[in-house]
Amino acid sequence: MKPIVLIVGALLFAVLIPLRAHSQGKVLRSVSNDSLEKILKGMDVKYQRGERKEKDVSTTYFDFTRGSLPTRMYNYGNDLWLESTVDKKMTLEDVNRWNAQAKFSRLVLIEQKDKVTVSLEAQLDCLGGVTEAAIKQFVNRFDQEATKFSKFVK
Amino acid sequence: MVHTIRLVLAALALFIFIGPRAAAQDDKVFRAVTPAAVEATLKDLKIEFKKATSKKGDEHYFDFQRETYRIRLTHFSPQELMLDCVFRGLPVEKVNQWNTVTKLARASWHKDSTGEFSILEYGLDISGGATAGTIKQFITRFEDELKKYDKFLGANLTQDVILAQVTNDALENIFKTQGINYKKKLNTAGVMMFDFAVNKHSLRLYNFGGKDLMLDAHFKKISLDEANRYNLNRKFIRVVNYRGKDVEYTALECNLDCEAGATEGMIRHWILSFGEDARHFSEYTQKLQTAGKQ
Repeated sequence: MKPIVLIVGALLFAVLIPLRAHSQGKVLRSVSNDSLEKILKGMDVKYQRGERKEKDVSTTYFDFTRGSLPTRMYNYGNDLWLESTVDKKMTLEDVNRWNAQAKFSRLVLIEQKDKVTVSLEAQLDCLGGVTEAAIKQFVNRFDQEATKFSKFVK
Repeated sequence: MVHTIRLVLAALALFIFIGPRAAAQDDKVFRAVTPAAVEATLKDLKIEFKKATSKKGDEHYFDFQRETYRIRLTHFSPQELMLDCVFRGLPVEKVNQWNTVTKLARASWHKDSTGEFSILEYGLDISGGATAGTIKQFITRFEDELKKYDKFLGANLTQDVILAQVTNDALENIFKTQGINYKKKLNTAGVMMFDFAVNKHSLRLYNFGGKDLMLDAHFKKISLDEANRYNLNRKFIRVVNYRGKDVEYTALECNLDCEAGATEGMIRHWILSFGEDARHFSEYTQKLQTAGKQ
């Protein structure tokens, strides 16, 4: 009888501990650049870090390519922003068609002086709390969206 | 000059005669209060409320909002009044800890199908005599107690437990403890939808299998150019134009990817932030309409 109890106990331990460990993931309300670099490295993402300077504000970004589109991730501290800009002339109707079918991204038409581009974007609000797993999911999900978008614009 | 003196004298007369009169009304002692008197007191305090009566007709409820708190004032009998407010769940030991240190309001622990929650209650027995001022103070003091209890909750409660799947029960508990009234219904695709209002805007939350949540709000149609401009300048949301069966409309949308898990705190923040986004977008559409009319 005793060995059975031990086996059942060990099984329960094996099943419950990972769930508990998962439920105790650290929740962050702002993400440091060092944490982001660690996450990207953990995902085997080869990136280049840069700084965008606007007036007195400097925003760190990470450029990388996964799948089909070059992507830039901005770290605003309390939120993360992913974008892939494509030099493609699209109509506002097409942009709306993408936005109507997309769930985890949006498409914006950007008209500049001499060219028209579209920006595929997604943002992650960290103020309510965010985990490392959620940031990885954010990057992976955007990758999926970018792949879908590549097919959409073909 | 004479006109000014007359005005000053009139103001003094008002102060002398009306002031004590109002104070006298506040000081009149009564030992029973009718639902109508409660209603009058709330109106006097400029509190907007919704009134309801129990099926038996013996209890009367006055629901109102003070800051972020949804309060219910119950008139149990002409001698018994009670104020209460629903909060997030807290371990029962902590509820007990609150009750041992608090002077006036008491907390109670509850659990239903949606999960745990706590209620802060404050009763008033007026059989020994009370004035209108007593009832006003009863409400004002309860507001102080709500803030203290909320602070106590914040210090003793972790919202960082990660939910591997966001169940409909978990969402209902968030709504309830956030003081948000909601109606839920299942759509034809089997997706649970919660209809509610934040900042007076009607919002709908869809739960796609506990892994993907979506919020949307519908507005009068704006042009694609205006929708694009809005998307260009805002974070977290998406403005989309749709063609329904009979009507074209513009929707403000936001998804929360819960595939990697989500905490209660994340969902609360997401809902309230979207309420703010809906308010902002509503103002944007109103400005467009105003500009269009000019």
